[in-house]
Amino acid sequence: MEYFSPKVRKGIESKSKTISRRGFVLSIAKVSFFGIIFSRLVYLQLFKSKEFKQLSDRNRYREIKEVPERGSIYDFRQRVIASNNQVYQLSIFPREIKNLNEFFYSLRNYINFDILEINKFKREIYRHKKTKKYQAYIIDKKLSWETIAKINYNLSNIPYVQPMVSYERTYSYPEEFAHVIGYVAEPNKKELKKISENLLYVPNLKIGKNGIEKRFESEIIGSPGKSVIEIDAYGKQLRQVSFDEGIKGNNFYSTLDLDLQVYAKKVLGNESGSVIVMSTKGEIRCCVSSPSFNANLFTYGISNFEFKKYLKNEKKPLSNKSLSSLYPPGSTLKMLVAISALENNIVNKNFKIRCSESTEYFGQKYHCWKEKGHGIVNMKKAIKESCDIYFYEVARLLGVDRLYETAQRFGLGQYVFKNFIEEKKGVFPNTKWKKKYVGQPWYLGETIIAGIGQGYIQTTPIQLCKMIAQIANGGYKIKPSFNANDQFLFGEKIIQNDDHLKIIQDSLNVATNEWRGTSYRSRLKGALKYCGKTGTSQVRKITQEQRDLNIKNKDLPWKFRDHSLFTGYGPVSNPEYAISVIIDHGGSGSSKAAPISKKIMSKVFELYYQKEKNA
Amino acid sequence: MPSLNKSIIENFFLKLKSLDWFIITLIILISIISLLVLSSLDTGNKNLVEKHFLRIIFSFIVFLIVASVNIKTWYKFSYFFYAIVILLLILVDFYGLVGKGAKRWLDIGIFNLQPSELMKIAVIMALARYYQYIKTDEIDKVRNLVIPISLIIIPFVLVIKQPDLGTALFILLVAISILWLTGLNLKIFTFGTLSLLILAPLSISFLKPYQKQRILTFLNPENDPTGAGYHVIQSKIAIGSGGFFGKGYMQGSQSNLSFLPEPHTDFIFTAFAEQFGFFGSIILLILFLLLIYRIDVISKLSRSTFGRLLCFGVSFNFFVYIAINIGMVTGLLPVVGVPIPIMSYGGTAMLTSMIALGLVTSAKIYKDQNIY
Repeated sequence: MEYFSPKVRKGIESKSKTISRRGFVLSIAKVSFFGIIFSRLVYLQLFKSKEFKQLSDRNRYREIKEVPERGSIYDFRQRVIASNNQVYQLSIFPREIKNLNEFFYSLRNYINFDILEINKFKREIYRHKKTKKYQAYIIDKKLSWETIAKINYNLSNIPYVQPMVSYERTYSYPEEFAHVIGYVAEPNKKELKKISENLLYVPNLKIGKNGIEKRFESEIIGSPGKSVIEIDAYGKQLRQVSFDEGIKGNNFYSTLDLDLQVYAKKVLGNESGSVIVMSTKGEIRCCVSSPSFNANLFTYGISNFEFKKYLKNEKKPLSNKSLSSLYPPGSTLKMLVAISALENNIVNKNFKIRCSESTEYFGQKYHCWKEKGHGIVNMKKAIKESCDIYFYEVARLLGVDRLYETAQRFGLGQYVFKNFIEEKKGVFPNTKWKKKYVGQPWYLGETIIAGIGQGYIQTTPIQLCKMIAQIANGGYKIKPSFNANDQFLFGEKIIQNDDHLKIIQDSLNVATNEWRGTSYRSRLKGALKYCGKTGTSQVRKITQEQRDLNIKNKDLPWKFRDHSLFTGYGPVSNPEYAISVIIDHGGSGSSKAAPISKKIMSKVFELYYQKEKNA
Repeated sequence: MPSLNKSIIENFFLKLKSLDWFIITLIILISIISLLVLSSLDTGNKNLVEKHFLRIIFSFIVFLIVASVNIKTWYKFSYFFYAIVILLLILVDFYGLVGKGAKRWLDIGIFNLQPSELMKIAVIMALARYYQYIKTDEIDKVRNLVIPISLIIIPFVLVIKQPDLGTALFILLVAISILWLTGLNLKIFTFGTLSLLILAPLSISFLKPYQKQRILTFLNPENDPTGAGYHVIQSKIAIGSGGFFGKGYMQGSQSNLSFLPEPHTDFIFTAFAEQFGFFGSIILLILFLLLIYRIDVISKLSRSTFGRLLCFGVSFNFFVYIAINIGMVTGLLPVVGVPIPIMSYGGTAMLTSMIALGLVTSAKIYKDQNIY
């Protein structure tokens, strides 16, 4: 034990003993430090070795996923709506680069960067380093093929960079198809995981954010390529370890018609609204929402200024009104009320009432739109001239729950598409619904206004178009779709009695093509005729005071004006195309929506029938 | 004549027998490992292995010469050797080669000599010689402290001027270990340590910016992963990724793809550990531990104070080399350019190590030599 005392007992022990004893203390120090080193090696090489192996591989290999080419989108005549540009860019791994200034300087022989660009990239790279440490960063400058070829040739002398080909979505008609096709933009992790894990960490990958681009993403997007490259510490490529070529996404053949879509957008002009045309089997030929935005702007990040401009616009250019705006259907619901009443044997076609200016139920006054009233009205006349009083009475007799049943069968209050992110479901109320969501019992007065499509009823333009198409096609259920590869077959028959159908179709025909019909002024005079029902949906309740003052719609602020609706189909003799037009705050249906429908239907006839005629 | 011849041959074999074969075996084993690692590295310098091999041979011859000379001669030669190295250090100040922001080398034709390396052994010899005469109960007297402290301070100042903080502290540490061994009063050590602690913050202001940076980086290497901390991180990755059995010979991606700084000199242990893993590292550590242990054993055999102090000093010197180097490459200590004896590629360090081992062997052969 004496060795453990470093104190020197002077004069007692020899010098050599002192040295040995103190040497022993040193030995203890040596062995303990070796112990520390030993445990450090245990920690590094045994406990943490997995982690360090991973880090070592990350040092050594550069794994780059390549953006797959998105499938193109075509219209129903195989004309391109959305395609891709090939772009040549450089990708880098920011964590490899020690000095960014030197790096950009070393590229000056190949690429002309201006100082502002470099500063922008540097800022982005710093941010990238923090959030996506192990992913490639793409220098967002499009290079010419010559530049890329030059860089590729000299690659062994240019460290860090990795030339790459990627694809950039471009739309041939960025405004016309903006809503229905949608746009692509940078994804977030959650979105990518939903589509495929494989798509994680693909630099510069853009995914569909809405519209067809999003709905059919899994088919369009393709599968990313991947190359693994061995590099040294200076970022120089040594060899390609592996390479998997990406798979191009499937092309999407839509039912849309480029000509019709472009034309409809032109007709809508500055109006806020929507035009939908579908075949009576459900092939959607055009689906326009106005005003629109430029979808190409979103591909590489829209500027804040532009985006704010869109957001501030009260006509909401960013929203797809065809699928997501909700309107009371107004008088366009009247055919459905009539069908429901007929099918439920509540009334027959000869049921008549007398329409004076207004009627009274339970002490409450209900007005017809026509100040002097329509006189004696039967069903045909009620639809033709859109008599409100007639439908108040029919609705009262029918009751909301039976009307609800019919509306359900026609698809109101239900999604038209599956998984279309922007589509709204709308509301078709019944007594149960009100109890559940409003918490109050149903009032009979609400049934009465439901008869003219007001009150709680909220529908989207696409629902209305589907509804009228199902009336036009002989009363068969359809599944509207944008996908030309779908099977467009008639489903279940939802109007059981063909006589009833005939009454409705006749009524709609006279509503457009006979004098005093609501859309008579917008009729087509040629051989091919169309017909339909106008609608004017109120966005506010008209008080007695306002009624007395006789305030004209156009004198109101835009936001309070009525929506103008039209739903119809053509040709009358053999209905093949259904249309729904809605102009936000456009006033009465006959003044705005019907004339637009006339133009569109005339174009439909020109596009789909003219040639057959000539041939 | 035949009898004379016989006696020379006999004498030679006798000497050969009395050489320390334990140490020689360890030297050969470590040299083989060193050559193996160097040849696995693709540093672009193709004759690295050849050069190192030649240096081993050359240093080994020096080792044999030093070992065969009587320890008494070395005892007499101690101050002279010390003086020569001091002179060389002064020459470095004037004619030194500049590299890595410091003047450390002298060009002597065959290779670049680093006198500060030689000083590590010179200071041990000088101190050992000084304490040969001092009686145990006079050690703590102030007049007996003047010379040893001067022997330490002069080279310390010269080396720190180069600037080479690492080597200076190395010399200081080894010299203090000699003072410790002589039985210097504990109070003096306590006093010294305390005054150093007080002086340390002051001395920081005299450090060069890169030296300050190294200390800061040591405290938190991840703070600056591409800058000064890069070496340590890469070294840790290399060692850690070796795992238990290593990536295999020639398979060290960290060392071969240049992620590792200087894999042939200061970071040679890392390159070894990456290829041979924990298993290899432990074997290497055991080899060095055995070497140190063997020198300690020889120290105790030595009859003279000079021999004892010299051997303990050399063993501590080896320990400090290994401890600092492995401590540095595993991230336990800051990065100061300290090589691993015998293993690292570097002329002077190799020579110094072999001279030191030669002296130890001489102390063993002439263990019964009385210096008085």
